[in-house]
Amino acid sequence: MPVPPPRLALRTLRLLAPSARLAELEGDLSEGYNVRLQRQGRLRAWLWSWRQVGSLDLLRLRRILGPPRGSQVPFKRRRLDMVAQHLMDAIRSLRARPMLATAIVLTLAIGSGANTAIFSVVRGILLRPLPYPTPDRLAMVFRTVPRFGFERSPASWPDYADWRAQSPLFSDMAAYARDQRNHRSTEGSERWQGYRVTASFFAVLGVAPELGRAFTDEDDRPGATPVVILPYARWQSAYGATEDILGRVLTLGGEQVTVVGVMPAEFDFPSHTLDYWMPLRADPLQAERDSNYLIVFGRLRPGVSIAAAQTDLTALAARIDREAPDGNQGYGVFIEARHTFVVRNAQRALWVFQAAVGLVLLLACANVANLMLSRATARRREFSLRAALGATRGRMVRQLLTESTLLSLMGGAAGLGVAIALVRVLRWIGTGELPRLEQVRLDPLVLGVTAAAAVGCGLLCGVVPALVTASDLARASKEGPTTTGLGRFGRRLQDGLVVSQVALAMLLSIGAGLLLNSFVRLTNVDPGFDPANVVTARVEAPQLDLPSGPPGPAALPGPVSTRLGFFEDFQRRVAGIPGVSAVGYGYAVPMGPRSFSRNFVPEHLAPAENDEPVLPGNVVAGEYFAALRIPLITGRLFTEADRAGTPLVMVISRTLARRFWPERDPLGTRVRIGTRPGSIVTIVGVVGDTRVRGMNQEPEPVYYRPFAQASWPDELSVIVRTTAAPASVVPLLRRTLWAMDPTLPLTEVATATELIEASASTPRLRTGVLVTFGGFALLLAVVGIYGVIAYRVAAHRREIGVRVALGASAASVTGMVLGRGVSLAVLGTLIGGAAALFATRALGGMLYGIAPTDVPTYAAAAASVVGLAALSSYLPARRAAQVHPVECLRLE
Amino acid sequence: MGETLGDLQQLALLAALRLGADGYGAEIQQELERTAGRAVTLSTVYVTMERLERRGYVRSWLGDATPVRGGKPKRYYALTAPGLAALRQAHEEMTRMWRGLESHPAFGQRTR
Repeated sequence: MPVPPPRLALRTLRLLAPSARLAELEGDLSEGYNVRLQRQGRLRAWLWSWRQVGSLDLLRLRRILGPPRGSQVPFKRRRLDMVAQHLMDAIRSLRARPMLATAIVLTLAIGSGANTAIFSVVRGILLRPLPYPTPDRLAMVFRTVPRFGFERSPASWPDYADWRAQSPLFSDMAAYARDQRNHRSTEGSERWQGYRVTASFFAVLGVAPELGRAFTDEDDRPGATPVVILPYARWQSAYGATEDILGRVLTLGGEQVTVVGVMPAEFDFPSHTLDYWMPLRADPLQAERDSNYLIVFGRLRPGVSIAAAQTDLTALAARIDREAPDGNQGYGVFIEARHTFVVRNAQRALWVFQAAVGLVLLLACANVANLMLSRATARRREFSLRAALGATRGRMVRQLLTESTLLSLMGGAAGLGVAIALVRVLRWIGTGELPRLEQVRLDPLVLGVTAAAAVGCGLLCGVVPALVTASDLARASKEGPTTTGLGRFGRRLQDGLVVSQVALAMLLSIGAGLLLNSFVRLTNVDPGFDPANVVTARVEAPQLDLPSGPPGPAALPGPVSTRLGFFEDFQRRVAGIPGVSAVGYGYAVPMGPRSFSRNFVPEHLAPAENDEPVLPGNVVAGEYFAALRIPLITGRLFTEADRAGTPLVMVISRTLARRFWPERDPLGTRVRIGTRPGSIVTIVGVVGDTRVRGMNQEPEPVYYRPFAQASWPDELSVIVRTTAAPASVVPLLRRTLWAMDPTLPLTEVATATELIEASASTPRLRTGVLVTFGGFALLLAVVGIYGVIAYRVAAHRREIGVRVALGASAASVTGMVLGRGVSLAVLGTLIGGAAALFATRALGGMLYGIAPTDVPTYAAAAASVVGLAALSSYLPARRAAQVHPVECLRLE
Repeated sequence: MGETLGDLQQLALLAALRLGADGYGAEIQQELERTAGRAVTLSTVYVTMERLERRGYVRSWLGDATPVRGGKPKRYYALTAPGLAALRQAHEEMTRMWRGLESHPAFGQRTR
């Protein structure tokens, strides 16, 4: 039974084939398709059909046969014949100058491809709505602490409960807190990262579990059976996606926990890398009004704006803070749309990228226009000849437009390849730096943008040369044929294009230069410790397999001495590993994720109760300072004698010492730590400053207390200084730990150098992207200048020859040509520099230790742009100097 | 003008000759692929045949339609006397040029 060939292919054939051969071609297509369908299968037959109708020979056949003589050909077909004719001519003429065509296609590919890639990132991250029902009504509710400049702080359980019950503008609220537990199975022990969430959590987001149920208020009561909900990915990977997961009992943080639900695959709240959700079960210890550890969010009622909610909740919170006896007086609230919260850090950088890549596209357009202009003028003879043979001006303009359309389509197709590659690269290097990166993909809208960018650019660049050629032809018909190149309009246009290219390249080079400069400064900052040959890892004491939330103000119960014994034992064993020179512990390590803060009230200060300073602290053990090589400035470090029961001691950083004791020696001063009147600690030493939060953050004032005197935590980071490569110690470290307890995981293993690098990865990403675009811009500008100057030299050979014949020296000819290129470049540089004075303000927050108007950066950018311009006009200038007068005159 | 035959033109003439009464578009295309190993598109076949027809080397006519062709007719091609003569001449030229080269070291292996 014969099968008709693919319908669309058949239709294309009907459109393109000449009517004189249409019937037999249709028959042949159908026959050939059926033959191949039987012998080679569907796909091969399908491909074959499309190869038949996509063949250029179809257009050639159409041209040979022409319209049937004596018959009335419908207008539509006549026009199609014309298009086919233009297309054939365009392909032939592009093939005749393959280098030029390649240059144009590559330029367009870079311009449109880079734009598509960045736009797909901007769209995925900034423009695509969050994957929850009516996501614009989701709002984060933070505590603010104006006197410390904290804008987005957590809230306490009682505050959350009061807000939820009393705010009329939220339909409901929910809260969550970070959590991590050891998951124990037959395969060993593993650290899981998760969240403890209120029963309202999933309902507020409006997402139901894929399997099982969400949490209920029952689950949230203290003493309820522990339950857990798993994310889709973990259910897939660890449990083979079987339905009997519901009711399974897992060992999480030493508890037997029952699985009651699995969330759908796209559910990623609050992050897309998590292992579980568990009920919050408000801990009585953490139910105090000043124990702020919950991240609160809510769903606004329809029509309620963020601003209205902000006003309303500010008043409500202020009233509660005033009336409750232990209220958070002096605190405020801050409401922010969930989407704004997620993208806030990436927003500015992404718009800067988009602007930069837009400039690259403009540059690409200018370049293509210039190349096309040169091309059109180089073909003046061809066009004059055709005009003489009777071709109309309209026909030749159409011809040029067909060529530019064809080029832009090819450029767009190549640009698509560039975009696919760039998106892959961005997803790879942006992991962890950009939020919602998993949302980034090339969708129809994004592809539409590429197509519009490439075709728009190509057409725009085709129209101008076409018009110039048309005006040239008009001139030529009056003045007779000339060979001296463009008319005045064309020359000015070309100069203008070069100047704007240089200006754009200058602008991008300055932006890239500022970021590069700032990045170099950042990496040369002294972190305050010696990161070479240091490896750190997280170790947890085994006996206390309790859930470890953030440290509360109250002491956690537990046998401190056993914990201390474990850590001291591990330290002794690690110190025995060959190649280890110092071993210490810290609750926080520099550039690490952890921090905590406490009220810090020196004896000589008597601040108001709500105005007590709060400072970051750290709990350390062993040779913490020696392992990191943090220098002791005065006093002493901790010793074996600083134990539970002995007077409480601490060491402070130099900045802290200067802040409270600018004139005096702080040693021996007593300080109250926290809010309880009893915890008085004596300062025994001052150590050097370290950059704790990142290389771009000034050192913070920090105090250190010995682990032996602290009542928490049950996990510490071990810091090991080695004499050999630090990575080589890691397996021995792990073996040592497992020799003590094989169920304990060694997590967060990283060298100190890696921690520093990770803290600089955001600036590295931004710098990398902008430097790449700056490089593209310079390259395009150089090609542009070279193209124009080389073309000018070629067009003015005769004039140059006459000059040489009249006695002009080679040096003066070189100087003349070089001067032309350099003066255009200088003009462009000035314009670009002036634009940069305004545009680089957008970089503001991304720069470290450098002003957006940094003079050396501007000078360096200008020097390199003008230098490259000079270099790219030097080659054609030298060729001009070698023009031989006789040879030139012979051309005529 | 154009007394000599192009390479594809020769092959197409030979295909039509080999096919005899079956020499129509789709068959010529398949014969070229089958015997000469040349995968060309249908439109290339028609362009070639059209040029040959204009030089008077072939003549063409519309023939029958079969169900597998969706009821569309076939265009048959047959060699004319000048076509045969041109093909013969091309063959003779080739043969003369090849004469003696069969034992040439570069082709020795092929004739062994």
